[in-house]
Amino acid sequence: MRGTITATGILLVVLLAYAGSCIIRPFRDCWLCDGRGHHRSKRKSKLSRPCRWCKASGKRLRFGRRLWNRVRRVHRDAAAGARIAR
Amino acid sequence: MTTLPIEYDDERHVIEADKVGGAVDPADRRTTFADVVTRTDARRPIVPAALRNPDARRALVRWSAGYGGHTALYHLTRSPKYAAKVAVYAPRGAWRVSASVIWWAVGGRENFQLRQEAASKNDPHTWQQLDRRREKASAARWWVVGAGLVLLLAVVVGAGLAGMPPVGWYAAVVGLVLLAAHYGRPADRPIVDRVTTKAAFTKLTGEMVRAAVVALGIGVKEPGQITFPPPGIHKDGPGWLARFNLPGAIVATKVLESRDGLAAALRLPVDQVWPEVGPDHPGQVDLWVGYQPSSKMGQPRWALAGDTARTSIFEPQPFGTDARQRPVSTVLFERNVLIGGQPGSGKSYAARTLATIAALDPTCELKIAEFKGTGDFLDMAPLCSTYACGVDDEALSTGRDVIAWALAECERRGERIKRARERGEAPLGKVTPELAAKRGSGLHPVFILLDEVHELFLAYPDAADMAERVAKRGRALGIILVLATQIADRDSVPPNITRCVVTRWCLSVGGQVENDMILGTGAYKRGLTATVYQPGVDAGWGVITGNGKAGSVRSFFPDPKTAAAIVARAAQLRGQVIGEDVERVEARDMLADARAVLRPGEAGVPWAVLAERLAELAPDMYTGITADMVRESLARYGVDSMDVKVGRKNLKGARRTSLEAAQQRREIEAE
Repeated sequence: MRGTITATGILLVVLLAYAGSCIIRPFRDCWLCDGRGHHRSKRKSKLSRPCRWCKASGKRLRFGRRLWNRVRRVHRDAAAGARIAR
Repeated sequence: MTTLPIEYDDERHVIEADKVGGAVDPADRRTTFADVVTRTDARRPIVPAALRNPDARRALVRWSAGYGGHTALYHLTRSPKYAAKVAVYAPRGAWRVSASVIWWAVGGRENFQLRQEAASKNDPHTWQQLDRRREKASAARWWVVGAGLVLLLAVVVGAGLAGMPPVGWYAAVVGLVLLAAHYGRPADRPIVDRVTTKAAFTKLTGEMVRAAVVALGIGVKEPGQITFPPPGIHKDGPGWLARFNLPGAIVATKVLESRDGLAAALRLPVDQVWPEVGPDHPGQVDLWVGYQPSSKMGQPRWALAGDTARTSIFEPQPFGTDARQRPVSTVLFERNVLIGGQPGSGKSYAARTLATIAALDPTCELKIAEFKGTGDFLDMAPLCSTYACGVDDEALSTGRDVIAWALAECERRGERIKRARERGEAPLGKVTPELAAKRGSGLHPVFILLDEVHELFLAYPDAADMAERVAKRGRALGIILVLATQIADRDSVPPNITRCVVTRWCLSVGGQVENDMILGTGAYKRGLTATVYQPGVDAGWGVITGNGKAGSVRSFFPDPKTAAAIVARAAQLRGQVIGEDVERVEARDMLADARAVLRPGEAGVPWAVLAERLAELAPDMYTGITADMVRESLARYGVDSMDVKVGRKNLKGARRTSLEAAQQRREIEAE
């Protein structure tokens, strides 16, 4: 019982912290280019090519924030649709 | 045409200046030395008025102590509740304060919404730019926070090393906790409760007045027809004064007639709404609306209620207040007053305020007779040279004696004034303050108050005639007559008396007729309407004329304790009763007396003999009575003058048979 409460508590704290990070720092480094925005070139002389995964920004939106944006958009569109229907 | 609101806007007024002719205003010029040195600007006192007078200082201290004590006790009884609230709010406040400091230090608020917008649109480039700005703006903030913390630590360590007593630490902790609770409480939930409830406050607006007057249905069709001459609605004393013009030929008295309708339309109690006829024309209304109903506003302190009060009937003395809480004064000398009003209108107390002014003048003699019989003036009886109370024969005859005395006194005083004038002491043929105060001059002021006087005049019609003569003659001779009555109709108070009395104070009356009987014909139409007052609710309120500007006056109404203090002060000022009691002339029944002096076996007695015998029987009453006077007096009872045989002569006289017949007739009539 106690273990369950502790586990739930820890989970809650972790979730809150993750939600907070989605607001304060919504972007994280791109995992493909390690936040550089471009890939390392094989040869020294040739220019490196930009990372296509992060559109050369080196940043990717966190999953939580992406989910949240999706939810907001769905809600907004539905609300607008409802307004037009009315 | 519809009237647009703009046409009667407050801001708009039409200037109807006559533009004919040249400039008439004097040209502006520089201020000269002479202008400065002759300035009569009132200098404001250095010490505020509230602190200059010992009474006021004491009142201030008393108020502060009472208010402070109440506040302290109030909060003390609620301290457990406050402690519980602090316990809840303080942690919240501590969290809020620390969180907001950190949030500020990291620059969380810098372009926060823009960054969120960029994140919502999945625009990492913009977000990174915005985030760099945030970093730059908040770069030095952690240093500031750190310096603050170091300073705090230094203070705490310094205080510890300096040996701060534990009390200081507790105080600091309590202070911090209270500060935290202050930041932790919701904005609409103060920690401490409200100590006082402020009295309700009404603001009068032009819209309210317009709507109310239209609602009265007196002929005003549209709100725009009512205009407010400058300066418009403004504060006047503890209330608002709205002076407005009614349209066309609608007169202000129409509004006055329906004062309660006006109050209803304004959604205010009747005693908060005071319409009067305005000063400019009969279609102008001065509507004064108090901040609070007058019954809740109380009355300012009466200047005569002080420990050191002393009046002079030759100087203006306050006896009441007007609707705007300003004291109203009167000079009693050369004044006769008629006070009228229905039962419950506060007549006796109104008369009492005047009696108080007289009582506090140590030269003034008081004679009070009240024919209600409830002892309204009983506490003033020791101050009076004559005091009668009741509706019985004794009280009524005393009242008559007072008037008879006053009439005789007028005669005596006329002589005294004449002599004083010859000596140059009475230049105007009037009593002067110096003469009144002079011992043995016999010209001290006399204040005669007759309450419910109609009882007296109905019982003794001759008293009314005498009162009229006293009212006419006594004015300049220092005899002040105050008559209070419920009804002032022809039978109870003869119109001749009403006409001789200059100052009339009409308290609440039932209708126009009664109103005009007291205030004079046409008073009602001029807007002097005492019908607006309700007995009980508006007790003491009345319309007064013949004392400066005619208008509403409410008599002072001291509480019993203050009233007793005033009487005690008057007794202290006087030391002894001023003046002497009137001679009580015992009313005798002449018919019975005439019957009693007939010797057994006499069939009749001549008038001259009868007069002698009556004088022997009751020297007080019949000394100096002549045969003719006896004949006339007995003729009223129907005793004829007939031949009476004395020895061999026949003389005119009263016969036993006719005396007995008269007595029997009277007994039958009495039944």
